[in-house]
Amino acid sequence: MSCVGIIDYGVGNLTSVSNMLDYISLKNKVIHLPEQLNSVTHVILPGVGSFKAGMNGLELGGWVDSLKSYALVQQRPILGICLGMQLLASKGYEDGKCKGLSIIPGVVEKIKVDNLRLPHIGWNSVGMDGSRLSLNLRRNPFFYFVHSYHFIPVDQSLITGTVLYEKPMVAILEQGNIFGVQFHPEKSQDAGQQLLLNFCRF
Amino acid sequence: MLAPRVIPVLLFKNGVLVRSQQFDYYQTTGNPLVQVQRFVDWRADELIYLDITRDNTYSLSESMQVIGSASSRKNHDVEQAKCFIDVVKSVAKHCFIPLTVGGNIRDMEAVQNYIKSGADKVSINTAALNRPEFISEIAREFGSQAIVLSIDYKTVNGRREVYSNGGESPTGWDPVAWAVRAQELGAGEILLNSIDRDGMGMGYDLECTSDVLEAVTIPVIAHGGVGVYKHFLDAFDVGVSAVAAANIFHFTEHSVIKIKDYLSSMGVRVRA
Repeated sequence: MSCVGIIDYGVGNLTSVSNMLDYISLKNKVIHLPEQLNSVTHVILPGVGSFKAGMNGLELGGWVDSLKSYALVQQRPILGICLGMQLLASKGYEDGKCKGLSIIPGVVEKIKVDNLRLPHIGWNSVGMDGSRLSLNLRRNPFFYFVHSYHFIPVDQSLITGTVLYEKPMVAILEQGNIFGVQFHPEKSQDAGQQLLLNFCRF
Repeated sequence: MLAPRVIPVLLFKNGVLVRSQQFDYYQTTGNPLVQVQRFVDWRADELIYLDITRDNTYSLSESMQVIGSASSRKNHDVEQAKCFIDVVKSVAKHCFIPLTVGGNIRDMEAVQNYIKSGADKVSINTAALNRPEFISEIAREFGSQAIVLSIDYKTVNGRREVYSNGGESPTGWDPVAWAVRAQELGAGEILLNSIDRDGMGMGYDLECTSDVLEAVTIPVIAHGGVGVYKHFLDAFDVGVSAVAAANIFHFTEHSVIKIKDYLSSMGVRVRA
């Protein structure tokens, strides 16, 4: 019987994620302590706000080593959403340099656009034919994005979803049981619901 | 590419949904929870819920006196009036599209409560005019993307001026200058409301909207004045990121779908 643990590390709207999981009948709970990782089968790392604030929250909560062990050693399923995905990186460049979790090597940088507005806010379509999260989704589904920074992984083969905003950007990363999505499935109605269901199959 | 957004605005006063005209109100029937489901099913891109209560009356019978009843017929859909935050909590449970909540947000505690209750963004107006640093404070805690800076303005003697307190108090600010300042302080988006055009069905104020678009680099949401679908098209033509409207969405069933069909047929690549 699966149980999704939504990590509370002080940033992000956990309620929305929990509400959607409730709606699609996926057992879930908010977890506040790393010890609770043993009581769940899947983990979601949500997050909105700055990279620094996110890492600060993870460090204060004692999550850094436990999450690395969970994802890289135990290789159990984890989904990073928005800032949650970005924190999986080696480092972020928002407000100066800051170390990330280094679960997926790469950097997080400000989106560079010439003629478009930032933040990148709204619904945009994601090319994700090669992603294991695409089951039962129509091609190039729309998801809701809201961010000014994006993830550039060292290993480009981990990119399984891209979104176009003047230039292509990473929308989905996956490596084994580690998944990261730049968009907010919990704010993307039916497409988001299907994606979360797909994640829970792993 | 990023799809232009269509955003219904629901105005909530003393526990009921209302429509407004030049910031004066009539009562309309409407259960906030039923409305959310409708808009989500009809492919609205986001929802904005504004609490425009000016006093603290939340009882239904009192609000009937304050607003004036359109009919004496009992409407079983209208629940016993609740606190706005309770409405937000219930709405957020079923709202799987972004929800912006605003109206009477005066301090950080209110922001925290709404975000905890499920709002994704907060719309602030008067509080930011009274204390502009409030924008930066919210940005530091929740990020700029959580802040929609709402600007109400009217044109008096040919001069555009921002008004606070629900259109009551002139502030001396020019809307374009205030939008620029708000961006500097960390606002994520601008919600630009023309008081003169509100509820008049004559279209958005495209001139002021264009001026604001030119002056800031953050997204701008047009609000106030839509009467026909073409007004949405006109706004996208000048470059807004999103169109918001209240009254038009209360007139016809499935109007979001019809609006998006119209916009699609005119070449605007909205989300289906």
